[in-house]
Amino acid sequence: MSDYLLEVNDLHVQYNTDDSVVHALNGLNLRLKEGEKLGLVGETGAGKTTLALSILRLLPKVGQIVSGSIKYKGEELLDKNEAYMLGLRGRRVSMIFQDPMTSLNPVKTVGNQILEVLNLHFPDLSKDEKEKKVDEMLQLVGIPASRKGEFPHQFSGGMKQRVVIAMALIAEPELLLADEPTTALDVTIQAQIMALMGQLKEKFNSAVLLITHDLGVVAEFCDTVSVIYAGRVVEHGAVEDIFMGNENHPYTKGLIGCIPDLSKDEDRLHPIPGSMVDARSIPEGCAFADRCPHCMDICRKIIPEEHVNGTHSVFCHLYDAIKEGEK
Amino acid sequence: MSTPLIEAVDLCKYFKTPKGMLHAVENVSFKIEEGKTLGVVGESGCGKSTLGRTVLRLHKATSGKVLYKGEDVLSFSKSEMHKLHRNMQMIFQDPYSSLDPRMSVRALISEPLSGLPKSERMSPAQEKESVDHIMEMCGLPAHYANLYPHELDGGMRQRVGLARSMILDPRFIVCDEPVSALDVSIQAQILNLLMDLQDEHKLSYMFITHDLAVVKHISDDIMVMYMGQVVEYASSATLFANPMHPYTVALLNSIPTIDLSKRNRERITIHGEISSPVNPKPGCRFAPRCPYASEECRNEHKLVEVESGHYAACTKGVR
Repeated sequence: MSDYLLEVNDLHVQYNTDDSVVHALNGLNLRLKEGEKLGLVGETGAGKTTLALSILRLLPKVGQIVSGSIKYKGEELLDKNEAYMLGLRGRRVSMIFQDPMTSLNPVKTVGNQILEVLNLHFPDLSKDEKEKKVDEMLQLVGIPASRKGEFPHQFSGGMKQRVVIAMALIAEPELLLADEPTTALDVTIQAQIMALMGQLKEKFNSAVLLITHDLGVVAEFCDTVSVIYAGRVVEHGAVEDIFMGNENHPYTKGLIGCIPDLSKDEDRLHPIPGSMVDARSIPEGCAFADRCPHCMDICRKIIPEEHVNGTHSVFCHLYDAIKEGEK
Repeated sequence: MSTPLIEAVDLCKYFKTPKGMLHAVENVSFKIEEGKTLGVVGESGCGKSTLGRTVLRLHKATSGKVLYKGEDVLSFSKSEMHKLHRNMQMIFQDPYSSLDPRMSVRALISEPLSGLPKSERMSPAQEKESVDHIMEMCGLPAHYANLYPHELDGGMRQRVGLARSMILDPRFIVCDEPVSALDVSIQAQILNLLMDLQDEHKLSYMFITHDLAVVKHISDDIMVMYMGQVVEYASSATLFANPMHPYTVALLNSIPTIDLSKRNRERITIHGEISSPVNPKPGCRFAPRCPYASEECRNEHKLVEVESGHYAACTKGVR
């Protein structure tokens, strides 16, 4: 039996389009323990959503898992058939999508959409029991059960997102994949939703993979963080390692530097120069080399090894150089 | 005291809806001096974009005044307004839908020049020179001139939008959430560019955003709006150091921070959601969500100068 709930090893995923191949994930590794809250951080196009879709095997037709493995409780998911995946999705692993406005069915009542999950995964429950569970779940996410007969357009953005969360949690999954669950919402509503997700996590002890580009949300909600760039993890560690340590990957440092610091009076921000690499032609060596202020010759040739220090690991040649110097 | 570049006095904008009047902007007053930035913060639907558009007369104001160098813009004729719009420009939120996909970068940037009166028209050579100059200023490499919007990423598109609004050499730009659609690394590039342009050209900005970290960074003064009303208005430093309105306090408290020492801070969560601005009840519109609301709050809403230059509609948020 594996120690990890979810273990992703050397995962390569690409999208084959008519005129090019987009390399979305390039050897991604990820580990998640039971009940752990992991934040997956990166910019647009880093491959965050692709990872979540790969775990659930929901990639669009052009997407292809080239190699690697995804183990769930020690079992290889990539070998399973569709019937097995159907039993997994929404029951043991569920997903909250980014946009609550488009992830609900506009012509079905909110109550029926939540009920659908129960009908699929708990066909043995009686009708009354199911209804009761739906009511309880709605109440838990802060929506009066009396509103379950309403349609999505009658709800505000924050309430729609709560409905989506209710749908994701009603089967009490072991793992929740939350893809930018609060990006479309205002800060006060975001605070409400994150507090709610925290409470629910306590209640069901589900593990959470929180996908976001907002480092602030990660720092407040997560136990551990993986920073990904161009489809690879460049840094992983406990929140303390990432936000309080001093051996960050230059990309993580860059991301942190981009955020205006509310406690300081600074005139200029420190952006990361350039923009995300083109996933159609990932360069040799470290993908971040072109934007990195510390780029060395070796960075453009060899993909850096993992440097482990306790709970913290960084993939950067900079730390080879420092260690060499110490010797 | 000198006349501010832009001033609004008791500006109101209502929209007619089937259910009644929607009070999008209610009695908003502010001043923006030359070379300064006013940040307008609030949640979606609070009327901040409507305010920006009303100031530029893209919406017709219901009542109130907008003064540009002391002259009432709302009484201007169409041709006077046409001239004035050279000095007052706007940058939009979504760099994906605010550029015509069938125009090249050069055509997009030079388009505003075609609206100039005949006497000021440029020769094609001058026009090319001026586009090249603006592109350089906005950090667009020269070879981008012949590309089309779909070939650019979000940051570059936003630079094109900025170049378009800069080419007529305006004095005042309304920036409506110019960085919300961008990644943090790109966001920082654009914010730096906006600040550099401001320093070089003595521009004034009205910076509309829901991101409080961004607004603190770029603004001299900040105005917090809730459902069309201004709840607090102060200099940036004062507002962050000494917020008074319960809504401002809750808003500042909700910002997720990367400072782990604040991870276990006492959280002020406000419950409920924004109610409808259609036919609103009198009094403070935040009252239904406010933990300190009392009977009097439902009667009156008035901005009071609580200390020099710091206006708040309520001081119950002070601990």
